[in-house]
Amino acid sequence: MRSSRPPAVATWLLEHFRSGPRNDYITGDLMEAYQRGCSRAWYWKQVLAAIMVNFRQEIMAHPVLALRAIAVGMSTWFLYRYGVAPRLLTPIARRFLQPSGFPFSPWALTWWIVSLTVSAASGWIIARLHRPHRIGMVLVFAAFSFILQLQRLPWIWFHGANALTNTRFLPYLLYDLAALILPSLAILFGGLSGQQKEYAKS
Amino acid sequence: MSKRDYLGHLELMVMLVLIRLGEKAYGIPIAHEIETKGGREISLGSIYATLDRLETKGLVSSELGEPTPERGGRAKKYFSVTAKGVREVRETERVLKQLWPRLRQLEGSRV
Repeated sequence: MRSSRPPAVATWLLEHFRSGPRNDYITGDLMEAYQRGCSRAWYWKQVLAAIMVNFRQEIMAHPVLALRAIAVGMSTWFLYRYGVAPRLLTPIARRFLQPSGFPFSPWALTWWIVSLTVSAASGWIIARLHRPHRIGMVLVFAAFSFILQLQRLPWIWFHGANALTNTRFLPYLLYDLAALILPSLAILFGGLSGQQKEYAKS
Repeated sequence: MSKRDYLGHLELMVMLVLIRLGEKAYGIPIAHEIETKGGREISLGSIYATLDRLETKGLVSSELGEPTPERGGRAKKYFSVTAKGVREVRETERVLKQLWPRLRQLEGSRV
């Protein structure tokens, strides 16, 4: 049976991943249409389209800001990857953990947590530095990060194909899939955290 | 020759629908009208983006309605065409009419 309430996750996405005053009118229109009998699939389609249209508008209207958001995000990452990680974190981690190439070893999991924290921090910094267009710019960097991670697709294919016959490859497949998706999600999470603090102040 | 922006396809459709609907036109009726008359579905996001552009150009104006429970307490935003907008539609109509006969000649020679 169809619920009388529109999909909550879709509404949440619409409210958090679109910028500008139009948000309220679109959310209201979609809720009204849903109450009048439009399907959940239609609601989801409209929400995703609205987010994509807003994302495209932000890039077209502010291409320099979009490039700046990518530069800020990449600078954060480079600072971590070639500065803080080898000079500070790796020596500390070696004192407590045994380096291992296995995807879910304590060593690898520790680096996962640190890397995702850095990704979230980059999203947070971008949100704080691009306040009027924070959601658009955070989405730009999250999308850029996702595109960079697409280089893992051959490995996903390789490990996926092998995991069908040998479960030994399954952890590597999970690792690749997580590496494809989680950094972008962490950037979005960090970006939203920066935004929520702003809301709390106002 | 002065530089001016002509209305895009969706912009023109939205303007014509606004004129057709009169006052109290907002997202859902506009989308429904375009879908019914134009035969294609346009997302509300695209319609609001178009309305935003038209409002920036001064071709449409908007006003807020009352919030309703059906809309989760959110207000409607009503749009209407300004005098400048009507002139722009007329101008687009004039230009298109001038260009139309040439298309008919082409169709005649190819069919």
